[in-house]
Amino acid sequence: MKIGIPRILLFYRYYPMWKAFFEALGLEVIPSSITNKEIVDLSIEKSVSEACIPIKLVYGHILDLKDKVDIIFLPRIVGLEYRTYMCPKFIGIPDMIRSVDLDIPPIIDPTIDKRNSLTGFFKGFFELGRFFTKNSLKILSAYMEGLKALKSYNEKLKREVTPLEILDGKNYEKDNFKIRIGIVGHCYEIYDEFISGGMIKILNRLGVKVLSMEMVDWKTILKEANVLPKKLFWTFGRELYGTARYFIRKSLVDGIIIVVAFGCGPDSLVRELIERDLTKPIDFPEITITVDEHSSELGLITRLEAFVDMLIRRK
Amino acid sequence: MKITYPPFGDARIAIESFLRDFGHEVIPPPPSTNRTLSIGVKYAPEFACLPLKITLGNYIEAIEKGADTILMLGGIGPCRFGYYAEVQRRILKDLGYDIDWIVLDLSNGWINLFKSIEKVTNRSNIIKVMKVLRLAWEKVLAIDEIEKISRRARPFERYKGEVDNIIRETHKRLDQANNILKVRQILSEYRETMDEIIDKNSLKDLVKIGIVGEFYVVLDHFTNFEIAKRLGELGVLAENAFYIEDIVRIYLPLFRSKDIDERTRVALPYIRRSVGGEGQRTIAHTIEFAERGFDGVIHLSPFTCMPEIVADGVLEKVSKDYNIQVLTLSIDEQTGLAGITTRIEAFIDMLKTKKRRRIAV
Repeated sequence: MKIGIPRILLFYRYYPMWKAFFEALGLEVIPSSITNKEIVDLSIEKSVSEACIPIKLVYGHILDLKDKVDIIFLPRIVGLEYRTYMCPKFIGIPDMIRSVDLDIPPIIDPTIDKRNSLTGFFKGFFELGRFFTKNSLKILSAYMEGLKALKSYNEKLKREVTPLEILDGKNYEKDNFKIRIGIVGHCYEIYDEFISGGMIKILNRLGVKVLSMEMVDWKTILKEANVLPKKLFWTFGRELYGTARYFIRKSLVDGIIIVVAFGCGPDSLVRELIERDLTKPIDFPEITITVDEHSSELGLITRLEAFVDMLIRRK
Repeated sequence: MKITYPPFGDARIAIESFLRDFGHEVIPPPPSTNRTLSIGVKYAPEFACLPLKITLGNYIEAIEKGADTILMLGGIGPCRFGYYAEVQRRILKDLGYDIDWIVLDLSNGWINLFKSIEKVTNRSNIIKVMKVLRLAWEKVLAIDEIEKISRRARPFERYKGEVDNIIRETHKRLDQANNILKVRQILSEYRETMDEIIDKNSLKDLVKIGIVGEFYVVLDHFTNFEIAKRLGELGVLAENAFYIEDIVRIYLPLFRSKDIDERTRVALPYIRRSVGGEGQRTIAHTIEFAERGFDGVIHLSPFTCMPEIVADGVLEKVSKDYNIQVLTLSIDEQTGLAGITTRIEAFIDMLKTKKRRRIAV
């Protein structure tokens, strides 16, 4: 049986794990194509107009898989950490997709919820495995395979390699960097080259070494974020805030770029916190780039160039 | 301590009475106007949702009148509401206002919650607390009842603004009422006055519209462009899916009732798990209105509201499955009255035509 995984949302974070898990269960894993014009057009046609661009693209990626697979994997991710939530749209996306008449293969949507129990993550995978086999041991060993794959993937990322290089086979220039910039944004915004407008590539070309959240240890990030008097209750919010604080406090970067999708709920507030708590008081160079389906590459290049020039002059 | 609070709709009467009876000096935020909105928009994050912007404007206007303490609720997501106080606190601080916040929020532990409650109740004893709560609750029920009856009366107004005048008068008296009996008396007098206006025989011939969506936009008259009033004046019977009482029951654990979850159950085939805010309830209420034979549903939400976007994503299917017309209005600071009016009028014309045709068949 062929199982399809849309190349969006948490793909750049968990794909190696999902792939290993499904393959251990004897399935063939097929990811959707890298976001292209056709996917974008379909997405805009079928989705809710008010949703953010990553959520819209789910529609297109699912349609891209339509004729290639027997079943589509779209988890309902409620929380990835104790007492934190994902954005409501992550919780509701399988329902949203099902409500549109897309004529697609069946969707499996196990609930992954780690808010109240430590085993929440495993439970989700167990529920998922049950779709394919009755053998609990087999699910357990597949889960272990998955964890192993995830661990080695995360280790690769720590060596400052981007997920794009590992998953999409992109190749980026490695040396001759004049400055370092930290990108603070969700993995599906930065690494989807349609959404981010190929930001990493542009920055590399301008002589910038790019650091992102994936390259920092998760526990460190969370510790950084927990200094807030009221802890952020969005998993991603915590990570963004923690990453920004870590980059700035340790002087790892010369400036930060906050990438926000137009209409992103949590980020509208988290960005404000980062700005008011971290960057403004010490006058740290920061730029916010808002992305949506109408962003143009030229506009992006102009803004990035200006920002990079400013940083180089400061140095 | 001069205390103020985030107002929404007519709930201000109950909140004010509640705070006043504990002996606080209350500075109510002036009624929301376009100035409130533009102050909020100026200082709030650009993509924050509308209630955050309007309440921020309310606070600043109250501070201008002398308030130095703000009472607010908190919570643990996934909707943005739980973090409002944190963001607004920072904005006001950066603007140079020195404000005390009393945030009723469980996320910082029971002890902190208890301390905040102690501050709100002014260290009153439990009997006093119960008494004050009882009166405030009675006022909430009265406010809701006034609103519900007004919806039925407005289509039959003898002159424009008649119902509004009566409501304004009743609210004023309700604000002064200092015991439960008085509240009940005011309510029964109001009921009698309205009974004279309502034409019971033609009530069933009216086009019926249900209003669902995010609670602040549904209940705050300024934010929703007084949609209930406009619908009434167009000769439509508009009913809310919920009123202030329901919101209190949903969000304050002390008052929580089981019916809430029971009522949401019909939405499960469409949204299998709560998505926070009113997302799932919007679907449940739409189905409820369809089953009660309403002609249409108006879905109100603040622009970029996350739970309502999920609801929006499945509403089309619900509308098809239950054969009910849904008009979604998402509101932000750019929304204009003319645009809203045009869309509502067109929607109602369509429903009227449909209804006539059905009767003819």
